[in-house]
Amino acid sequence: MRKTNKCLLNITLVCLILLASLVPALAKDKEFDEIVKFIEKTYHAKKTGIPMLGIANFALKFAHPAGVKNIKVAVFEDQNFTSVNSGTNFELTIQKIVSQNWQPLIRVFSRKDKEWTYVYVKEENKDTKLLVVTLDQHDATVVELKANMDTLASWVQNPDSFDKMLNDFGFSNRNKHKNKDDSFADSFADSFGEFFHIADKEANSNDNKSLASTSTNASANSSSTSNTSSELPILKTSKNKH
Amino acid sequence: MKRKTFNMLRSLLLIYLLTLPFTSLVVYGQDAKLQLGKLNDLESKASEVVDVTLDGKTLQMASKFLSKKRSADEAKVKDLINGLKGIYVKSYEFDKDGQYSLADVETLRTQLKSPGWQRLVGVHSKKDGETAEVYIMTSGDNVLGLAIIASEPKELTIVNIVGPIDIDKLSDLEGNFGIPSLGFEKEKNQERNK
Repeated sequence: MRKTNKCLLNITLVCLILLASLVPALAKDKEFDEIVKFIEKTYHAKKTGIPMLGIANFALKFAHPAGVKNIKVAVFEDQNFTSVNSGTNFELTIQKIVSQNWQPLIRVFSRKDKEWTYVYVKEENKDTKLLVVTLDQHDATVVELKANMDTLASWVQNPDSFDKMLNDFGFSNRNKHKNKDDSFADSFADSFGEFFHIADKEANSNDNKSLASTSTNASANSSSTSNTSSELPILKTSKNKH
Repeated sequence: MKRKTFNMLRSLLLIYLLTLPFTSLVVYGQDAKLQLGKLNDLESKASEVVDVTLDGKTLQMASKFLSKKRSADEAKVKDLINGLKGIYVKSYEFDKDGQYSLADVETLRTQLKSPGWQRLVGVHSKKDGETAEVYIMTSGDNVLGLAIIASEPKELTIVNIVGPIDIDKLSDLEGNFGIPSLGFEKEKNQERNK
């Protein structure tokens, strides 16, 4: 009986500690939740469930692989975001919710194609928070990532360290990658780049409007266009001409 | 009492006069960053908007993710952005002609008439109504900043790069950080072929 009491006491204590650790997280940053609520209410949209995300986030409270401390993701797939004035409402609301506390990094929107992308950044002690909001006619995604960028960057630079960590946890198949470029961390680095890749992937294949007419050799009545296709993934924001 | 106050005021004046040259230098150094806020009014009229705001801190953060080992291109960009204090891009596309006025662009040109700035290139096409201008801010042999204004009847693009820039390496930034193709690489190749 005494053993059971002790066990219950321990469990209660652990629960209280966990709750205490959750409270500050809940108290901070309402932006993510407010944006998600706005999308749900305004467009009557339903979130797509992401399996294991809750568990992963819980694990991130105790361990910070690659410097990532928290990640919130809300995905809305195959919804109708084409309602009247939806774009204007979306723009105004995002600016109202986010602009006070976050620094805008990238804002790309096309009223013609009904596509909106916002990337905001915020410093929090030694950590950096990124807030990414995208909305098009059928899909929307809201992501908030809190990470120590130094750790994350060094991990991206040295992908072997993460592979080694996974190996230690028994995920030995990661070492099967013979080519360094194919390693898990490299693919993450690419994904991170894609994360910033605002324009459509098609943009690389399409013509980009060039400012080549600024050429010193250009004649007064000339203007030209040229193709741009850079391999760099980071912050590539080429404009897509339709 | 009066003498004390007088002495204190004299000391303050002396400190102010001594520090004046340094403060003006600081202000001079900040001039490469253009005030683009006035263009925000165009957002409501534009059908497509690209707005990239990368200050020094954010650029350094982005630089950490670029690997010299991964590719030569990344190495070049990493080197180039290391000393930069900011990259600011604003691009507007409109559905109809005349949805932005010359006055909108003139506010920028006025800033670019201030000391330190000089126009490097200016191209105007009467036929297409296109204008492209490249300005640089220099101090001695060093380039402290760069500004590009490219306007078409339905499009306006402003690029402002703040910080020391090696013009020869500028082509490495094309297509990255929201900077459109500037045709520098093409020019370089043409020169090489000659």
